[in-house]
Amino acid sequence: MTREEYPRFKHLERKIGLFIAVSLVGIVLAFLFYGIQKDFFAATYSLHFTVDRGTGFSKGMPVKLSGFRIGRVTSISLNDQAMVDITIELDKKYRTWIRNDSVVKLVKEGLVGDNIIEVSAGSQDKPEIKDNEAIVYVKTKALDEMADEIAEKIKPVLVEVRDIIGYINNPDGDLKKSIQNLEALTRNLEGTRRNTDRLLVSANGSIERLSSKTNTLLDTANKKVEDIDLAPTLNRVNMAIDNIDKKLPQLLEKADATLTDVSGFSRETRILSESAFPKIPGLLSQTEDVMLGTDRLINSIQNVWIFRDNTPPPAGKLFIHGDSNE
Amino acid sequence: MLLSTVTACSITSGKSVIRSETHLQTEKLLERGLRAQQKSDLRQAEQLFADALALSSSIEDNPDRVIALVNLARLNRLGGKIDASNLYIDQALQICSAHPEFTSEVTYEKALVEIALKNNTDALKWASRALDAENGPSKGVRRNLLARTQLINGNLDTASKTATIALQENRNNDLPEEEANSLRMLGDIELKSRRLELAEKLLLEALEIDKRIGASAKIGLDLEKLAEVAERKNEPVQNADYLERACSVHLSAGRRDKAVVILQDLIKVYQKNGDTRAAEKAKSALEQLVSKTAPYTSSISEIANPSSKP
Repeated sequence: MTREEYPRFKHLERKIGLFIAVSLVGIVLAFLFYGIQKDFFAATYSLHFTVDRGTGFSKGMPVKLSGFRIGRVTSISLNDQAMVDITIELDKKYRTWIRNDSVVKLVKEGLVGDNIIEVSAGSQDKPEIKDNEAIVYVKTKALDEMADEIAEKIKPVLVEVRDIIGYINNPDGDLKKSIQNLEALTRNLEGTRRNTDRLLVSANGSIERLSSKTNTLLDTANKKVEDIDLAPTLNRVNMAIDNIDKKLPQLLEKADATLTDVSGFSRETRILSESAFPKIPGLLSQTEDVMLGTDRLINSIQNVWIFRDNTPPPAGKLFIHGDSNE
Repeated sequence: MLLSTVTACSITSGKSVIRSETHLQTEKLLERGLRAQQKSDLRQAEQLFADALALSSSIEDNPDRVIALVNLARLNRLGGKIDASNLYIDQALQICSAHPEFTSEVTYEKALVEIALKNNTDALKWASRALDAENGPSKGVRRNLLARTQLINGNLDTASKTATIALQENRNNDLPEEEANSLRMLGDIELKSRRLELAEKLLLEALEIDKRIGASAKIGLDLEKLAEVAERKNEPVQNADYLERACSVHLSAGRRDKAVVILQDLIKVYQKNGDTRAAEKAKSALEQLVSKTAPYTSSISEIANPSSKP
């Protein structure tokens, strides 16, 4: 049986050709798909910016706008000032959002995610950034920088904490001593309580002895009081009271009469005052009239030609003496 | 005979104007104010002069107004109320332009007020005007003030010449108080010129006159100046003696503030002399005096004569 007759090899060339063609189509499709995914076929434009350190940047790293990928880093190169020029390629269809006041910054996607370049949307009243123009880069703090900053802030707090702990742990410190004293006090409390118990028992006995002695003393005092003869003294007091009793009515009568006199005098004085007081203003007025009359009389007499002194007193005589050395 | 005498008197009395009752009343108030001031009843005096001012103003009696204003200015100045005094005297100055007979007295008081206000240049100007305006027996008084202002302004030579003329004028016009002022001022000028013997002689002369007329404040002043002379002559015992006397005089007259100042000087003098006992006594008297409540007379008599006590 020849090769041509064997059914497995029948139309072999055609099958191989078909297989290769399908493979090629698959390869082309895969390539196309990858290219579309990587924006190889999208219309792009380039922008560039300069950073002082290239750390965190890598070629091909995504550029995002509001979380959407719109481009990638195409080149990273060191310039003459030892700074890093970075070129990004952006999809032209997002060009409308990239304006003159847009900025790019290096951020981390999530806490442990990759670095990405984030572009902020610009104001619509600003012009669009054209191809190959520069875009402003805003430096963000790197994690190490933030860590340094936090460390600087925390350092004094830690020092304080260390000092406080040292103070607490210091065996000669006030706190330790206070705790030791408290312990000693607690230990001594038991002894104090025992002493107090003994003292109370002893005091109890003393009070009993004192009570019996007081009773004896009171009995003795009672006997002494009973022995005292108060009769003569009481008799004398009685006599004195009788005497006062006899004389008191006379004294009271006299006081009564005096009070009556005083009352009468007071009444008369009041009547006299009541009659005299209304006259006082009139009397004062009359006195004033009399004084005024006297004054006028004297003035009149002074103005009689015989007594008249029409020349005013010398002015100097009416001045207070003014000493030149006062 | 009597009738003819009376008629003659009435004829010789000449032309006169009958003064109104209000005028007489104002004058009475001024006289009573003056008497109250002489009796040291200053509050009453001020009230009476204020009444006189109101009454005289009510009838536009400018001469009496000027007198009342000058008296009020003088009372206030002597009572230490210089601003009030200045107001009164400025009013008087306004009125007296129409009454030249008062110009001398008013400008004289104005000069004294300016001295109290420490406006020495103005004081000199007013004192000079007062002297120019004076034509009566008070020429020496005005010149004394001029000499005083010249002395305050540091013109010793001019002040000495003015005071010498004033001394003569006051002697001629029998004004012993002002004569003593002239002598004291001359003594002060000599003291400042370091002619100590002459200064002492002049001050002793002033003291003698002041003691004769019984001017207590001036006696105290003379003694203070004499103490200064003794200090310059380096006679500490004499210095202390004069200060003790001055202190005693001021205290007896109730001038406590002056006595306090002298006591402070006296303590220093005692300490300088090494008389610690007397210095301690003076200190204790000073403390009593400053507290103003404790009786101090006995201590002062001790200060005045410390050697008499054990």
